[in-house]
Amino acid sequence: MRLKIFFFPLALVVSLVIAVLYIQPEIIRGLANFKEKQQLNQLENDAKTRANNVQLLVQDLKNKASLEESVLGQYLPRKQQSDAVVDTVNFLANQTGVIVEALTPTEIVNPVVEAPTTLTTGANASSQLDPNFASQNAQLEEVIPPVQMNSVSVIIKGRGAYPNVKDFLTKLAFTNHFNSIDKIVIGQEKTVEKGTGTATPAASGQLTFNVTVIFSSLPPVGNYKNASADAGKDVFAATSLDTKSVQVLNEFLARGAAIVPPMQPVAGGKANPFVH
Amino acid sequence: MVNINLSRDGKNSESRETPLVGTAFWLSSGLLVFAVVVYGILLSYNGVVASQMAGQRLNVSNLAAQVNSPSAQAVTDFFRRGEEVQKHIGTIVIPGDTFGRLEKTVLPSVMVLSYQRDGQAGIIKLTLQTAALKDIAQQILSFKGSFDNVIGGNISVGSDGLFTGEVTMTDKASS
Repeated sequence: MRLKIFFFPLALVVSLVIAVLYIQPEIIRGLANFKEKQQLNQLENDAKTRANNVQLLVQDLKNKASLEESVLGQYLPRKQQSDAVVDTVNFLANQTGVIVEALTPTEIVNPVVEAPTTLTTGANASSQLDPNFASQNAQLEEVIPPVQMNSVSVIIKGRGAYPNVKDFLTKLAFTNHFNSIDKIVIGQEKTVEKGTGTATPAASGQLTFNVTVIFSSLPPVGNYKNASADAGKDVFAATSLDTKSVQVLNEFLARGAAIVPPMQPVAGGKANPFVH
Repeated sequence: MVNINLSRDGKNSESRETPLVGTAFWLSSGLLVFAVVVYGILLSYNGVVASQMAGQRLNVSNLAAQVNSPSAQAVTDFFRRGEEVQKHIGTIVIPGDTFGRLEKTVLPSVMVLSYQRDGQAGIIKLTLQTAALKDIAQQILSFKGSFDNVIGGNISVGSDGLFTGEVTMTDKASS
């Protein structure tokens, strides 16, 4: 009789305990798993698409390898070519008739690019759920490394007539070597009067110039870690290689070629190198 | 004599007794079993989903390894290099263009003594020389058509009677 009385409430209590202590956490876990799985499905699909696109893009790049090497690689080289910089400046000076008096290259130490501390994809939410998932996701995101240029600042000092200086600086901007003219200082060449010691603009109309040009190179991209996911998506989202940049560069160089004729190699050979 | 049977009928008394296993028992047992079964199903579902996700993570990891291959890095390199070049070309200011604008705006009576241009900010500082003070004012006005933020300053007269003035302005191409 007693058993009959107590069995129903006891079973009810036990059922409630099971529901609260075991079923409820499992439901929460199940919902979280469901959400995470949806994100994981999305990420997996993205990764599959990217992996498929890699094959296509690699093949496309092989077909366009000469294009890449000759145009992009030459304009923005992988290694700094100081000799090429000196050659270019010297060639332009000769062509435009300015006199280069000094050329001082100084290496610029670029700041170290920090790895992003947060993930930027939809996986962001899931990364909070599972640390392993976050680390694997981060691995996918490491595909695109940050871009870190190597730069050399070259200070060019010289003199020349205004049209020549103008021509020199314009041609410098169009050279086939990634550069930006950072600072230009142009002044009148001055003559100092012997008696008074005062400096007055020279009658020759010659100008002195001091130009700071930053020549840059970009080491092979792809060896870095911890880049953002968005960067990777734009590279591998396409099924064919985007050569718009090469097109833009070609147009720019063509515009420059109208002003700067291509540098021709000069034949060497001298019986006595120690005389003029 | 009224015949009254006071003896208890065994059969009737048995039927009035509550049964040992009644509706409440079945109801409570059912509830308990239901709770256990639901828990079991949830546990098993979560286990299956967790194992599926582990497989997916592994798959994503393997796919990531493909994208990280050296050949893929060559694609990345091409893309990034091109992107940097394209970005850079868009920001190049051709000195000839600036000088061209300067040539068009400098008054015949004004001589430029010095020219300084900061490439990053596109700020141009000029030192001008002229015989009349009003020329500097007119020159500032003339620059305003082709350059931004034209500000004049530091005007002085030299021993030769010529006025020297400074002008700071921003190259429109850089702003």
